[in-house]
Amino acid sequence: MSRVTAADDFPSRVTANLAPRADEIEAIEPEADFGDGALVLQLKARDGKAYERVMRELGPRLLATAVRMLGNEDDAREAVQDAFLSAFRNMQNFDGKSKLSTWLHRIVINACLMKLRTKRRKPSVSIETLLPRYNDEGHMELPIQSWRRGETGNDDDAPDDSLRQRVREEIETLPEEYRAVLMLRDVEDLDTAETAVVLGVSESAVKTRLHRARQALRAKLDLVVRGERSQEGGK
Amino acid sequence: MKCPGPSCKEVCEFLSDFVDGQMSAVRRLAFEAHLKACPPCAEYMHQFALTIKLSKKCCCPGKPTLPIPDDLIKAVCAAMAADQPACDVSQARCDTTAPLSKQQN
Ligand SMILES: [Zn+2]
Repeated sequence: MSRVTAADDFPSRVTANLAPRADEIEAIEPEADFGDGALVLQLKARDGKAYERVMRELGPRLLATAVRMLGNEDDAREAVQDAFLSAFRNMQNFDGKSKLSTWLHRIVINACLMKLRTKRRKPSVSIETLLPRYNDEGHMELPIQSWRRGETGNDDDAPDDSLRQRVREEIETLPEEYRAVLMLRDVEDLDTAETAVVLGVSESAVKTRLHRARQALRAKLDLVVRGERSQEGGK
Repeated sequence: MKCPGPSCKEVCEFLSDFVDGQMSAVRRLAFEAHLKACPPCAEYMHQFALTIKLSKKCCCPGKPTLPIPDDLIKAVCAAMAADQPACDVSQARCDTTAPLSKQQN
């Protein structure tokens, strides 16, 4: 089957690839706008009912973030509990400039990063072999083989369970400093400045690491695609 | 193969700036011209953009399914009740219409 080549509909296809669809926005935005003043005042007044409402309504999304960051539900629940406590105790610091949900999301991410710092001591492995190499003329050394439609999901469809699983596994195997930046920027939608603050590194380090993480993940997915092709036995 | 503008290496090294929209208009045009004329870079760009999209799609599959457990909610409320100071006059706002918390009952 012939795939539309990249040059045909560039750059509209790129834009289409990157624009979040409605269900993707749904995945990060809560239904209700919790930034409204009354609820925040109740939280600042330490109203137990308000705590419960926020935890029940915003909690599942925050827990999902923590599971993504930490990889297991037990640690995720602990991080979310720590985050809620920290947030409620520091409600006076919430200035209403962002939505309450956004503020809580950042606090959960901080709680997760604190947990990761104490738990995850994965030795850092080099990702050099996953980055493209160039010849003297500046061309790529290895030819790029096309990903056929279907091998990485069709652009507009939700990925199937096995692809989802593979992509998550490949992200998990990235060295931590790359995995963290990729998760915060490309999955949790923090911007460069926010990512730099929570990770305690410079913005230029965030940009460099993100680019390398994306390149390394592309190479890992490419290996997955080729591996599956060879298993099909030249079908 | 002779590609216009920046080298393939330069294109691949700055693709994140390109897809994240952090590139001047002039530079962007040069990148676009290169990508149109260079199939390997165009394919690399396609896979790079798809990788970014897949990270999001595969890690965030729609609505979260895990509810917050009741015991977590109880634990947080209990901890907040336990360390609650009396209504602090030093605070900028203290909403007296809000129900005071349980632990004072
Ligand atoms: Zn090129």
